[in-house]
Amino acid sequence: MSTLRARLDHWLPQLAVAPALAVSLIFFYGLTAWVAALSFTESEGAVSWAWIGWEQYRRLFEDDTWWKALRNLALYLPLVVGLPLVLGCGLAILLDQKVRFENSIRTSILYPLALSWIVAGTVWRWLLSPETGIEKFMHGMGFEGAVFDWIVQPGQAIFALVIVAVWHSTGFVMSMFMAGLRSIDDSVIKAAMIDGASMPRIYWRVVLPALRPTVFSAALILLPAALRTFDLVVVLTQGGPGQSSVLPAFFVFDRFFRRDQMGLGAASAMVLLLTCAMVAVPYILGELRKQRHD
Amino acid sequence: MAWLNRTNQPFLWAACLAAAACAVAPAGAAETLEVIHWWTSASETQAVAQFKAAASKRRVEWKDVAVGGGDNQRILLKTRVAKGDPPAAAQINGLVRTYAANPDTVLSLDAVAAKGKWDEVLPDPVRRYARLGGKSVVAVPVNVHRQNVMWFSTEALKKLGATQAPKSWDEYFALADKAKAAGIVPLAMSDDIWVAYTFMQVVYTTLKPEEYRKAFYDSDEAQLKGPGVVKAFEVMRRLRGYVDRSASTRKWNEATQMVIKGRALSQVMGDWAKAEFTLAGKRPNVDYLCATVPGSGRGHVFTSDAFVFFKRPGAGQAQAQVELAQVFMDADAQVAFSLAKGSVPVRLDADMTKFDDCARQSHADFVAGAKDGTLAATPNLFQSPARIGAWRDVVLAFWNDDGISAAKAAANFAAAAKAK
Repeated sequence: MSTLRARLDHWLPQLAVAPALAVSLIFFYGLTAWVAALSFTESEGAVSWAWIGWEQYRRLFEDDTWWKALRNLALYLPLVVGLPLVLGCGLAILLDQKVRFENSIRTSILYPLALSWIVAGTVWRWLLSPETGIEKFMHGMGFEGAVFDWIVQPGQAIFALVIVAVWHSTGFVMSMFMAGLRSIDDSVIKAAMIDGASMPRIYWRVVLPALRPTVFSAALILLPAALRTFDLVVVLTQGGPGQSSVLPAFFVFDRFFRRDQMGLGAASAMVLLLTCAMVAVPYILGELRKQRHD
Repeated sequence: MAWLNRTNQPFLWAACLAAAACAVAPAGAAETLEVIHWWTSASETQAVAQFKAAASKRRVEWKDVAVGGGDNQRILLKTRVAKGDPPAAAQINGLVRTYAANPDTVLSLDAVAAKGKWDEVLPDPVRRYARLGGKSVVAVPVNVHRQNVMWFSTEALKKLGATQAPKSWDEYFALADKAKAAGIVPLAMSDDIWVAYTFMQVVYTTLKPEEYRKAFYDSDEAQLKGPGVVKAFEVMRRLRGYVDRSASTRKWNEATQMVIKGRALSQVMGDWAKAEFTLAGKRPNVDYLCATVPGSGRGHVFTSDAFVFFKRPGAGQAQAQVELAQVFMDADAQVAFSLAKGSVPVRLDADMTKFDDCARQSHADFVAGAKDGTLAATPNLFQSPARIGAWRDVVLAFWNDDGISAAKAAANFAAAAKAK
């Protein structure tokens, strides 16, 4: 009996993990392999297994829209990762000063996360549109010359996307920093105060370094999310005006499903995946090594 | 074995009874067909119900798989065909070719088409559409939506001292200048796909019918960069000046609202925009005009919803699919469907007495255009989505950049036709 019990104890965790493992093996690695295979075929509207080597990748890098998507990503990525980190950290520090109405303020900043993209996107489309949104409001306030039309300007539409993305993730990053701040031992700060350090100096030299793991996890959540930004583009601009706010993930969807260029879409998806891996893997490895040394 | 059969018999009978009781169909074994489509709005659901009712009279039970949004429907369909479990029938409009290219999966409708004399009641471009990619009939078109409609606010027209819709682009530009001076937006435009859509309606007016067919059915390069297309881009450049700044953030129905409220003079949009006017309590020819796009005369540019049938296992399925195909082509069913949906029947011999003025005019022009050869199908019915997308990119690039000349845009347009 006891051997059966021991055996069960041994196998139960494995059994419990097995379904999740199977799901991730099939749906993540399996489908990744499928898409990778597809990118070397001539598939258009339907799947075909006629191999054509690197042809789809050649077509991809001759495509002006793909380059536009990559350039847009280069503008978009640092902003939507950097700004929420800075703003979220700042807001968390301000809120951490035991202010009144802390809970309601925190909820209202966190609220964007609870809104669906369809609703938020439509509201933001109206807000950003010169005809109905912020610009009209400014005119109503008396600032007749106010211009805020990024979303209709091909050169600036990508920054309109940045505004909404930052609005969406800042609250979440802030709550991560709040948790980080609360976990710092008060005695450390008190010790620094006794040593005569000023508050800004304490935050800069003591608190922020202690928040390093928080920055790491926040960035690791923001970065892949930014790399595969798709729904935001769909609800806000559909990549427009023209092709001016296309991002790679939207490009993948557009080619794969809408334009019946499955091979090309698969090739772009592989490039996107490798980009993600290129960014994430060294970062994770670096952080893990550091933690081991600590 | 015999023993097993005997004891199981009562159970089998009970199962049969239960199955029969569950089925909504009238007595007798109705065959269930799964039909995928993207009609989900109130009027569309009403319209689908007409086909459902007609199908149940022929002992075909219609199992509805309504997927909101054309994109979602296409993705679902593509997935199910790819994994070998296609639905019995699927709505499909631009993408027939991809599926029709594979006769192993798609049911040929030649026999039923010959029996029902479909070719005699369908105009030439529709016959071509029903056979896409081959010699066999593979798609059943059910209705026609007119695309080259220009909607006018009569209130705005009155303010500008006009009584009727302009007949040519020059007349239109003169009117639009007046509207601009009066503080009315001349052309209510919406987001990118509708810019490309407008271009297709403009190019119909600047090309002769046979030039249009060569360019957009056969992708003839000489026509695609010829003077007619250059002229179309020149018209587009002028139209750009009559569009307000916020156009690209607007959905098409929001643009229609501008015409309804008299804030805008006109909009280029298909006949489905009529539902917006009706919903707002506006009457045709009193509050608004459904004119053709300036320069088209009585010419008719259309798109059409169609169904394809997929080969399925099961003896009864193919027979039921043929029945359903006949339902789709039935004149009365098409009339009932289009009355609810706001389109017109695709059959040339349909009875139009119950329809309103705009729809009657559309069908009359459709029939006349079939006779004199001016009837034109939207390129989406014949060209691959890749090519349609590539053309859209060219039109939008031109629209958003004053630096591109009309001649250069036409050259790009012809080059984009090389996209597969």
